[in-house]
Amino acid sequence: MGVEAMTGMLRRVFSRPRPWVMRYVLLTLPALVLAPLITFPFRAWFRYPLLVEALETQSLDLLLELLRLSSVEAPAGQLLGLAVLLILLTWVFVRGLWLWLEGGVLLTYVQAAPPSWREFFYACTRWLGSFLLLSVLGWLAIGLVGAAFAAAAFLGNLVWPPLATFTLGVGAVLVVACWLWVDFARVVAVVRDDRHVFRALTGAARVAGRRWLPLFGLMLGLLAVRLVVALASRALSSAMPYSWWLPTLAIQQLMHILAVGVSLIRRAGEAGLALDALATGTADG
Amino acid sequence: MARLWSAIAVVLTLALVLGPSAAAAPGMAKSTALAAAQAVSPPEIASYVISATYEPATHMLAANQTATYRNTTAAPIPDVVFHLYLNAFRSADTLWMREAGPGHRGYGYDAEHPGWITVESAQLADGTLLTLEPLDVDETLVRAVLPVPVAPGDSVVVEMAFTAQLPRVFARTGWADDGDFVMVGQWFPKFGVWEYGDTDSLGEANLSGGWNAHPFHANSEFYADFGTYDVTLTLPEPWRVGATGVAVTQPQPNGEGTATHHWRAESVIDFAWTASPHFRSMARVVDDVVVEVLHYPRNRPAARRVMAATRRTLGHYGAWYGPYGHGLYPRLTVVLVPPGAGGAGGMEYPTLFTVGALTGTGMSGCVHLLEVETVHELAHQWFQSMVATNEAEAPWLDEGFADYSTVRAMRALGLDPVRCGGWTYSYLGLRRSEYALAPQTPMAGKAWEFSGFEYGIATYSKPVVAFTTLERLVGEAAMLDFLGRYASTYAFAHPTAEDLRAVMTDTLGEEVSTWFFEALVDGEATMDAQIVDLGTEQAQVIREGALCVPVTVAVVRDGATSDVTWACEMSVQLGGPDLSEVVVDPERIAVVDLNWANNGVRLSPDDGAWLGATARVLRLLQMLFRGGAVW
Repeated sequence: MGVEAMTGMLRRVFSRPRPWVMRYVLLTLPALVLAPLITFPFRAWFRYPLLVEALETQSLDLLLELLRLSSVEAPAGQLLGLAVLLILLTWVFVRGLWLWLEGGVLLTYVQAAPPSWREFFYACTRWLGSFLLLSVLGWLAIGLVGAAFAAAAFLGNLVWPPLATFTLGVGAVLVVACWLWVDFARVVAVVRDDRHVFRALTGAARVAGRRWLPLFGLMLGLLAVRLVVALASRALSSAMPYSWWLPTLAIQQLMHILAVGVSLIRRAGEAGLALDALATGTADG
Repeated sequence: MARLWSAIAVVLTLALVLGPSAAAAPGMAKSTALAAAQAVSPPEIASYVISATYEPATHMLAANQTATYRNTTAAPIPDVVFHLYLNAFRSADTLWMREAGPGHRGYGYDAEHPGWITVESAQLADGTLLTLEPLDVDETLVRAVLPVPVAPGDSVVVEMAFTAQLPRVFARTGWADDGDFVMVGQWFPKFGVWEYGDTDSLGEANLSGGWNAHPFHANSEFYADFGTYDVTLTLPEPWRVGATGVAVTQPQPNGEGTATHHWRAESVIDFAWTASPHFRSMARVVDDVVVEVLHYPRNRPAARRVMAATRRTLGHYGAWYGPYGHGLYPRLTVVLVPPGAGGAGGMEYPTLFTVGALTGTGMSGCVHLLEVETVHELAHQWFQSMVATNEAEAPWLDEGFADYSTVRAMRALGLDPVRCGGWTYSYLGLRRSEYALAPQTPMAGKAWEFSGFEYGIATYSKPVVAFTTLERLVGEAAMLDFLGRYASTYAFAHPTAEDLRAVMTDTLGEEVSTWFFEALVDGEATMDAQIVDLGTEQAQVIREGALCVPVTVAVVRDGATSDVTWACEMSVQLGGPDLSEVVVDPERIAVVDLNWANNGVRLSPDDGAWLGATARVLRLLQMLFRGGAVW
């Protein structure tokens, strides 16, 4: 049922580390530039021991004490506005690059031999248009489903609040399903080497239907791993005094590298399943 | 904010589900003053027998009442004075309305659905007619001269017929949900309090005798004597009723679609009731007290939260202040008001309180304002319903203790008003922020002497920070001894601020009580300790404001910390060498200190911590950029 193909593909994540490195660098470099820019205007606040206590105990009480202090000068609103704008622009830039890299990343796992740099970047550009279109369709679907269920939940709340909770839950599951469908369609498109988005979507649905068990297992397993990584990261961060910045940084980055790896393992696993399905003809449209 | 209403259940025995006793919670501190059970014998002064019929279509009550007032003083009573509170809502021009806005806690007055009360007749038991004379232009207070004064030890019985129009609810009492919900408080002609020979709330001896009763003011709540209420209510048959006291019988159908409910409450200062055809009941038994939450079906999740908070807190309050009702109250009714009736929420009555004013009922998750409201109103079962201080002349006494109890209860329950994503905002922090806005406001004062803003500071925020400072100064055990002694000594009585001061002197000492009352209760003194100058060789610490709270100062020299005691000097110089950090009051004893941020400062920024914060921002940005690729 494609499990062997999937696990075989997972090995490629480790034997072909280029996507892992590129994604980590893409996410980290802009953040490394932005983070000190954002925190430096607040450096003078760290003269107050209360601020460190507020951060370490996560106390809004104490944080508000500091904000009420007239002698503490908050960085100018313009500066904060600039920071927000910078974050927004960087987010757009990073997400654009992320999508552009997606073609090369998937080719790395789908192709029998590791692609050369030239092949990698060619694939990035070749698939960008289709992937953008898939993104637009995905957001449209998510928006429609989300809006419909939000409206239903609003009406449900008027009748019986638990009904609203149930409706929102179902809506959330459908939104996630839409997102996963579009995401999987990109994999199927590359596997079939077909840039037609609707064929990619229908092909993704067929593969998911035929290989639902390993696909479901892959998703759930990796979700569990990701949750463990997230919880460990959070627990370690909370336990670290703020002055232990170097160990904090090291642990956080290790966790971040793991998180990036988990997302790539999912892509490789999906690619393996799609390849297996194509080989047995189930993805033919 | 404080108020209450009443209610009690109808068919309960089979519906009761036994719950674990909150009093059994481990580690619950108990006041030593309560170690020995204390028998109480509540006075029987103002009692009422009321028979009322409610018409939902018009929101009107037609009623007859027999009101009995017993003279327990040494002075004859020449007249009787009644409150007619509902007349405060008869137009937008009344004193209450002019003071209020017109509105209450954000709920607006509906001029098309006013409230009022008319007394059709008043006579003595022997048939002698009484003439009611208004004592204020709005007729919220009326008086009738008696043909013969009531001698000490005697009683006067007044029979009255009255009609009450309930307003669309916006201030505690009225109807909502197109008339399907009604919360009825301050609804019947109610005696003032006859006082003689006591020291009044201002510390002055009352040697002439007189009625303690004031026109109804917007900030003012209530003051009444203890007595027995025997009330029959006739309503549409399918309606469920909750009220002060206990149901004497099952509802009796009258035919023609109505039923009569019979309720009785002893040793209480008021009677309120609620009714709706949509009410559902959730009941538990906690320490032999039947706790019932009345709620609309759709609000069941919120009702569960209210029940949990009530059950868990009953035990704590019992340990601190003595058992609920000193064993005299078998029931406690909580009314979770439906959507659209928030004006009825957040109010206390004997054996009954309402919630749902602050948040509606839908908020949950990391916001716990419903629990805050619940434990606050529950605290009023001690501080107002039993320790029945004058809420009009000394509102800080009941609201202050109730709100300080709220801080204690939330701490004991491990809850905060806000706890989201690991970040917390405590109830003490909330009250401290408010207090800092007008800390010079004395706590003592009549309700109507404060603006609405000052009233909030004087009766809620400042007492919270003042009592919490006191608690940290004297320690938990001594504080509990003081609280327990006060609550048990004055259960079913009308203590004044002077009575409280006497208990404080007895339990905590003359010096403490003098400081507390002169500086915080009656005074305008404030305190803001701060470091104004820090160098490697010396530091200057000053105290802004005249309020004295002795604290310690932690001084870091060359990496080593030493403590310095700082009494009440206005300024202190601290010498070096190699000073790097100074922190005033590191234990935060002085909760009255206006700002804790300026209590500590380092010579240079803590760059390690700053880099730690930067590392965390870096992680947040990485997560943000990763977007939906979460796994």
